[in-house]
Amino acid sequence: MPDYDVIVIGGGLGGISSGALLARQGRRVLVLEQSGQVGGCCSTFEKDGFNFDVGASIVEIIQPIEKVFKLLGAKLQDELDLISCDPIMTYLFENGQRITYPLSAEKTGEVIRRISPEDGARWAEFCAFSQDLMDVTLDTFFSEPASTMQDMAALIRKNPRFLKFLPTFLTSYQSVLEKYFKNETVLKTMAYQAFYFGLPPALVPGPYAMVPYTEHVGIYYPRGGMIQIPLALQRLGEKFGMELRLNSCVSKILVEKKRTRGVRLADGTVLTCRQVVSNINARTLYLKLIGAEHLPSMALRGLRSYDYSISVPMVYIGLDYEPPLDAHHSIFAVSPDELNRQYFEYVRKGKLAKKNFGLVCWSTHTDPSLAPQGCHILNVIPEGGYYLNDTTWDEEKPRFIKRTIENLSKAISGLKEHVVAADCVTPLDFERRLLLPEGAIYSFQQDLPAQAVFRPSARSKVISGLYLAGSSTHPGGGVPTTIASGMIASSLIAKYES
Amino acid sequence: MKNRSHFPWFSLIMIGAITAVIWWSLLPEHKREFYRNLVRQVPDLPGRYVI
Repeated sequence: MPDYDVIVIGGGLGGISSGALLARQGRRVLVLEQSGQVGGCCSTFEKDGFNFDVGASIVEIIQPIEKVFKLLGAKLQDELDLISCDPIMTYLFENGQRITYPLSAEKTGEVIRRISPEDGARWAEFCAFSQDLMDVTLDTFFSEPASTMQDMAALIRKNPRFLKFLPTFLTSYQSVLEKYFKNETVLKTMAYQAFYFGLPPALVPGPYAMVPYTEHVGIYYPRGGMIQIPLALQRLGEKFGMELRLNSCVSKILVEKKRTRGVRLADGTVLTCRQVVSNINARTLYLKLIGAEHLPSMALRGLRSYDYSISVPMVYIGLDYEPPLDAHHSIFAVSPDELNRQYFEYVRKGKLAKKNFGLVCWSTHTDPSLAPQGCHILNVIPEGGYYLNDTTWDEEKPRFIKRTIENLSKAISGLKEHVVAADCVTPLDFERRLLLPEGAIYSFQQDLPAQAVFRPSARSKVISGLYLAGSSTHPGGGVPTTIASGMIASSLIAKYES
Repeated sequence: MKNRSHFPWFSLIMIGAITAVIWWSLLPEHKREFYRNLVRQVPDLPGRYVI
């Protein structure tokens, strides 16, 4: 008899949710996490009394998360204190202008109408389109397996209205936005959200253009920091007997006759199991932990063809004053074409943008308990790729922190004089600490040729007993989607491994 | 006779090619980037499907 029914590699959101759900099914589950805490990019760390979020800064589209908690016999609202963020976003323009969107879609329509009456009128149409798309895709694309053509046919059978939106996948985020909005200022308030999927507006598939609307359905922040989400899943999993081992790094997956038999840890310990769920990057999984000798050449070619997703340098700033901002999130408003240019001319070519470009998260606006009394936190996400020309991230890091603070001070008055703590996690740090190759926070690019049937399958097509969760597999990276991936992996194991 | 029977096909292909060139040249840069990215990865799709 094997040591466990299922071993989960990686305690990120996908791993911890699949582990908890599998334990709920009555299976003996062990989750192995290489670092000292669960959550991966969705976690929180303490420095000088400030609690900074590592990566993820909010949660929206909470339906998949509610579903997972329900499957675990719990209510999301009972397990997590989710604070609604209102207003949801302030847009900082280069000329000093600021536009803030409230949570209410109706009131946001009024703000847009003041900028452009025509676009204001089209906002309602855009909301109706996005709500319809959200209803259909949440019920199908974002909660079911999509690894084979049969899976896709099943999605359409489940909700035939999914067919209506298939052509939208053949257009880009930017094309959908420009279909509805013509005013440059309005477009600037909706362009950056494309980077929630790790790509510029020109490359993100069209259906994700619903995000500037879905933010108005609700943006939430868990009291105590983003780590509260994986911690809640861990608590529920442990209630059903899920075992978690931190600081346990897997060096090999044991495969016999194309079937998983267990894992070997870095310290040489061998643990046997029936199934393995991988929550790590799929290329690392197949090439390093399994080995190319177990894979057909066609699969190897496919695996090597993926582009890694974008990485980001995160700058964490502790302040001893209240920054003059209005919302949990602020974005430096840039046009879609300028964002494309920044991506192709700077990020892809290993250059760092000279100007402000990115997202500022004011977590203590929503939860003041994260910082000492009277102090505040800003988590800043300026874009920057893994590769840098003529320098390395280790060399660049101190200069990068300084430059980010200088640039922010131009838009947020008084900031520079009130910095009492500052840190940065670079793409190289993400690679070292979270074992994300090239610091890729979404594993692989989330463009159309790496979606659904063309993303590594949640139920491995080459190794029996191997299942994938996390951002490497469908439906991709992000808080609700990686949690959904854990749900999909556990449902597939329930279906095929009785 | 043989040449005449080939003539309509040649015309159709030429019209198609010219239309495609005009269509492409009229596309905004971001749409070209989207299709370029798509076409670049088409040869990889069979391999991605089997993993």
